[in-house]
Amino acid sequence: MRENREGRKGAFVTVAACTVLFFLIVPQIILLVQSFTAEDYLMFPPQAFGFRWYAFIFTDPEWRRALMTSLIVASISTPMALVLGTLAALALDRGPSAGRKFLRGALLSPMLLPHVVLGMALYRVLLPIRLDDTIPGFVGAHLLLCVPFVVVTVGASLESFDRRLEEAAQSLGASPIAAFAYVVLPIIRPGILAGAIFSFITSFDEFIVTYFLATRNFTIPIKIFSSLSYQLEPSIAAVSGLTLVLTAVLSGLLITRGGYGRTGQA
Amino acid sequence: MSAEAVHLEGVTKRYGALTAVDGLSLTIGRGEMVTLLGPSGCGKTTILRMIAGFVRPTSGTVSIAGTPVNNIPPHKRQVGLVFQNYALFPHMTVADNVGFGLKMRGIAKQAARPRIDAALEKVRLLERRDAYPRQLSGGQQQRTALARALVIQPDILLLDEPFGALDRELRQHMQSEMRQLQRSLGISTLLVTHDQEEALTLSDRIVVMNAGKVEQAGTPADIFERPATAFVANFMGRMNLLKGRIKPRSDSRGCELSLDGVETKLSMADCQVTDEGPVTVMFRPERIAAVHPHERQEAGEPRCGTLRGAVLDVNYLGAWAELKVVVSEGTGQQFTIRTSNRDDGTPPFRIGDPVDLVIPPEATFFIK
Repeated sequence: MRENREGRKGAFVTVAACTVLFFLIVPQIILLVQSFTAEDYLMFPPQAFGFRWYAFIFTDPEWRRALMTSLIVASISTPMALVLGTLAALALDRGPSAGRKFLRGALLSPMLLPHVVLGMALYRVLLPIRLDDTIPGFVGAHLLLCVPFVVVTVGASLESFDRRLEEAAQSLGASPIAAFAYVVLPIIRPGILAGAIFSFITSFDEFIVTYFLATRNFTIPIKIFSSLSYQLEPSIAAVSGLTLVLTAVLSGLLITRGGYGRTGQA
Repeated sequence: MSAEAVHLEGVTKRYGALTAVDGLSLTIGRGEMVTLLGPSGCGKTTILRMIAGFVRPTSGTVSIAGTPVNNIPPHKRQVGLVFQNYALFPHMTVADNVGFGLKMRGIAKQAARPRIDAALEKVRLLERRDAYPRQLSGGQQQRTALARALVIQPDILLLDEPFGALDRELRQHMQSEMRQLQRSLGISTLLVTHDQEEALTLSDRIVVMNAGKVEQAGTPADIFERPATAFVANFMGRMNLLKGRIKPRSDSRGCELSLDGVETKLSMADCQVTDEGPVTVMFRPERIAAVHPHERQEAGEPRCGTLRGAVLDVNYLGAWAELKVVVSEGTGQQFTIRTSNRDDGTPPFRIGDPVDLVIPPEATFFIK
């Protein structure tokens, strides 16, 4: 009787989960399939398949430019976010406890604040100093969004880090900096890797805040959006497919490699 | 070269209103194995951390090998440290763990290798040099930590409850190994533990601590047989503490102890007391003989130093039984004693049995 009820409950959960997954994933799969069309229009299912539109986005100057802008911005903001975020996480972990909660809240606030407000605020600040529509301006804005991820992931790694390892290193003759480089850094590497992946995805995928700043200098998401308002060309599907694959690969990396080396003692 | 490996002079450590270590002085001689023994929170770990350099004394001086080190950071002190959880670097092999101290000293790989292998040889772990810590057993991890601390030839080896994580059999094995190694290398060692058995087995000298102060320092036999305070007596094992009075014997050969409300007098040959006064009387549970009253009558007249009582409780402890006895006379003071079980394994007494406690003078001591 009871097993029967549990069985029914399990079946319900399975159905619900599958439904949700279906609605989440299927549109993206449809888009991905459409991106391989050889036709001039988007349709499902495509009549003929090919890499025509993938070739197009890598040769068309506008798409290429947007792709380059996005890659440059993500490649600059990710390492910067890593350095800043790791330093911030270290300060939160080891600094004086006074004001720690406030500082942490302030550092993480870009994750919670409405991005529309953030974009507006940044626009008002960057416009007079002429950093709007520039790569440094985009990098600055993306840093604001990326640093919290690094603070969270590296912070979690530091929290589970056994400080005695650092003390052991110091007792063996390592200066505080050497102990950090040889012992702390390799052990918190999963957190740093996770922060890097989150940062890159966040920057590459960011739309709202960048939209406030961009006028002619487009990143990929903005280029997609603006193309949509003219026509529904399959190039959009190809770019989306590219973004999807890049994100999926990075997420996969995060899932499979994220836990590496985390376990200290057996 | 100083004859002292470590010397602490009037060291105090305060954390706000809390005094963790209170004006403590301590010397560890070269090649000596000293144990800081005490309950958790007594300040023993703080002392270890002050010697290692992770805690700065509020006042007083810490010297290593004759040099004051108060202002020297941990990585510039020659200190070997073994933690309870061993703190092995999980991302390095056994050999890299052991070689870490040499690497930090700028010793080239080729020069370091024979030293690493020699250290691993000493702890019999050479064949595991390329394993990672998570692939090692608890005992092997501990030996790795020990080799890592020894390879830098420290002025002092600090062991912070290093056996706490091992099960009983392995712990005893590792203890005797540690002791042999320490003796053969002649390395000055400070062990911090709350385990009195461990302290008794391993130490040349034991320093018993309580609330940031030294209660008593001495050889294991001193500490165990002649505790200076009630705290030490209690901490070193189950002790019977009873209130009583002491006075010199009329024939001026030793003195007489009387327990409050009990007629029986206990004589102690080996004591010099001139005035009468109240004392705390102590008996070790394993030194008191428990006999059945009828057996005593066969043996003859009642002797001095005998208390009559009744068995309140019997605890079976394998080869031994622990009896709780309430003294019939007076205020009903209670004793705990240990007695061997019978040949068939059953305790010689049952609850409610009358019992005579024969207390030899050498099992008795007192604290004023």
